[in-house]
Amino acid sequence: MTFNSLQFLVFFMVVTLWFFRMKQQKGRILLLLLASCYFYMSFIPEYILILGGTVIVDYFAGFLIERNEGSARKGWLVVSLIANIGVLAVFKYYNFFIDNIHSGALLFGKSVTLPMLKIALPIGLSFHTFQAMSYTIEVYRKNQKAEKNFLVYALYVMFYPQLVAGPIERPQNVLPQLHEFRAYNWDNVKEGLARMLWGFFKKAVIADRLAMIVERAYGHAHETSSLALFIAAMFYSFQIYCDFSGYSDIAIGAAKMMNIRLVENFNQPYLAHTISNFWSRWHTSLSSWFRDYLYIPLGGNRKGAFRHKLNVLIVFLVSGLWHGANWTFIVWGLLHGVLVVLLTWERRQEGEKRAGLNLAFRIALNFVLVTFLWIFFRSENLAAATGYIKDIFAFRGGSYYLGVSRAELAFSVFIIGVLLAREKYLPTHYIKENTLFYCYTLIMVMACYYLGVFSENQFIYFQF
Amino acid sequence: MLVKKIIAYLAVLTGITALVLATSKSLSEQIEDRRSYEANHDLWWGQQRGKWGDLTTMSYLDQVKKFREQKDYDFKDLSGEGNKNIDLYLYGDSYVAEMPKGTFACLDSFIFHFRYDTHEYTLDPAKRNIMIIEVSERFMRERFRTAGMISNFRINGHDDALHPLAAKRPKKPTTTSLNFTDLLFNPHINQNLEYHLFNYNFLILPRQVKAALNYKLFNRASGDVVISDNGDYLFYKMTVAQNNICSSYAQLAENETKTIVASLDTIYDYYKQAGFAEIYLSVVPNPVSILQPGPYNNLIPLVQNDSGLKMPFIDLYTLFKQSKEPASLYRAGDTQWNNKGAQAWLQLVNNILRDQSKKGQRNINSE
Repeated sequence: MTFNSLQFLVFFMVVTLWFFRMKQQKGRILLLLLASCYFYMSFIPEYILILGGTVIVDYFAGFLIERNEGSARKGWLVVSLIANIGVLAVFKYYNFFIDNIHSGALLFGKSVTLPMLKIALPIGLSFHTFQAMSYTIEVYRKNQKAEKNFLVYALYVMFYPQLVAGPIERPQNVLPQLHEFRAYNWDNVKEGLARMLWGFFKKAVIADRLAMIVERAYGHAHETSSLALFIAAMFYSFQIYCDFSGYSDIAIGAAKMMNIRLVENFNQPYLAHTISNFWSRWHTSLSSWFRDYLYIPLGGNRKGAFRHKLNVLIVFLVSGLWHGANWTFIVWGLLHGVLVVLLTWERRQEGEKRAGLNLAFRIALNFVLVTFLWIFFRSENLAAATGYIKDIFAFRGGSYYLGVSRAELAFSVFIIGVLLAREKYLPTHYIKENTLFYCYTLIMVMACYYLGVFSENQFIYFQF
Repeated sequence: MLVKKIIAYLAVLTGITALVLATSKSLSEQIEDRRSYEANHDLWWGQQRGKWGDLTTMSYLDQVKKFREQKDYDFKDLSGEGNKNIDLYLYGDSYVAEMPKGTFACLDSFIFHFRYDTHEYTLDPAKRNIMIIEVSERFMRERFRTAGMISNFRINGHDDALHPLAAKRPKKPTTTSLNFTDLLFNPHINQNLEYHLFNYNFLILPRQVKAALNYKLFNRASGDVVISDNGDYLFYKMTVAQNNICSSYAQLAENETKTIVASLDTIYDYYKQAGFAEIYLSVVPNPVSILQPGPYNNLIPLVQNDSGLKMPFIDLYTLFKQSKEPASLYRAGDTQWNNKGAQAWLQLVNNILRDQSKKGQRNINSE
């Protein structure tokens, strides 16, 4: 059940209306939990057992961590982490690992045949395991009390708006909200709905339109001109942004309508002037997760310049691997890390005043860098990625056709302009005046319907 | 306040009803059957239908003249031709479903077996039993991943032990067993919801406006339909998508053609042993494979030219590729061929039937 499906619209309407008919928080929790189970099972029903299993393990691990001290306390945390990382290792990385052993053995002239698993990746696995791990880690660090109510804890992990693609939440933010009965709030409904509509717009009107162009370019790279390939690569930067941030907008908006505030995930990332600045604006719930649970425990910047750089590289390597079991993601993550480490001059200038053309130039340069790195993210394999980049730098002619008409190409550029302007100058989604809100809703619904590209395209980040 | 409450409860009820209807395969089919009665077509709640082709209907582009092409089948009557010593079993799909017996030469009897059906047949040993397996290219990869058709197209009296697939076949194929998850989750729920909530004559106008807007502004069709690069044809999106098993542009997996050939060989051996004089394979190319080959994955030539393929094939692909006017073989706004395309196929088939008829006659004479 993707957010951009009729099934979700009907499902969401039923759940939200029913939610506000309930007079007790217990009932609401149960309703949301059942709805979340249905939502998750609509992808691959059987995998609810895996999710349920990790929920049970982490729930009891939380208790045991809280009750114990010393090595026992640490031991239960390790149990929880092994359970979560174990699920990730088996379902997401096992085949990748075995495949590389096979390839590695062949390099040395030996043939090794280890069994591969014939399983589909549970949807959103990396998101909910990371969210579950943040709970046990926070309980271990004594920043969060163990949750007594199993249903509340299960809902913390499984809350359907952010279950399969984040934002990756922290228990301190969500658990208290799940305990509190909050009455229907028209302002929250307005703000949430407006934000959801903006998310739908970004997905259906922008991301899925750009997807047609990008798909064509990547599918016909060898016969497409260098300039067209570069344009398509830039379009991909906006496609993935609108796709993922559109999802986050819908998730945050849907939760807001039910009076639950989720963390922000994006802050105009393409206005970043450095790579490190980009990461403080892109998928911030993941960046902060890695900062708090990996980078700082590794020593952060407290153990000298070399260790600092090494820590940065490790974090970006793991971040790449988090995205997928493919060398393309690993290289993508590593390259980001290398750029953050190498371009230290950028950070030296962080405090300096930047304005006007200089800043605009740096933003543009950074965008181009990020765009080139996205090529690794988008490509099927490393050979395809390097081939695509070579084709761009071949500066050759060829077909300029990108699968859509010129009018649609021009409209795509226009709509990206609308996106950037809207998010820069109108960042809020709350509309106080009811009449204005109704007009906005009508316009957005019409825009989504008449300008939207409706396909079976899933959200890109679902695969992680 | 009370009105708001009532509206909320009504909306919840409507939503749940829609979800239940769209999830239930049998309920959805019952409603669809009822709504698709001929007499209901023009009623305000009737379902949308078009006469110009399934793709123009799906894309709401009936108003665009260049895609308008009515079905123009004109089958010749060959029932008087030949020795009538052949029993033809045609296992196929909608491409050949409307072809009458009389359009085939030398037939004594003709059985059309729609590929989704399950039936058991008794072969007449006094006749030359010929089977033609017709499949449209978009279903080929899925259809012949296994030799599963053996379970649907059964031969009475043929020893099941000859093939494990046949031995496992269900005794009563009409009953469908559903498990718990099938009752709660339906992979086609979105299509069903769209049908139940929006596919009414009185709601067509906004869709037509959207289709016209997309066409006029961007030269693009909506939804599951795409316009060819030259703007003259509609293609089913699944046949041009990069990652769809039905697509002519989707890369074939390693050894995939070998798997298909192995399945076809299993099928061939099975029906040969069951008593068929010959079994032919006929793959109807996706329109896009002929009209806009671009990055074609060469599925048909790869299978047909595989040295391991035992089954003789009716080579429509080469005929269509060599046609001086390939564009005239398919309907512009439909997934299927037109009369000219159908006649080209019939000519190939009838040539084979005439040859087989002669062979059958020679066998009788030699006995």
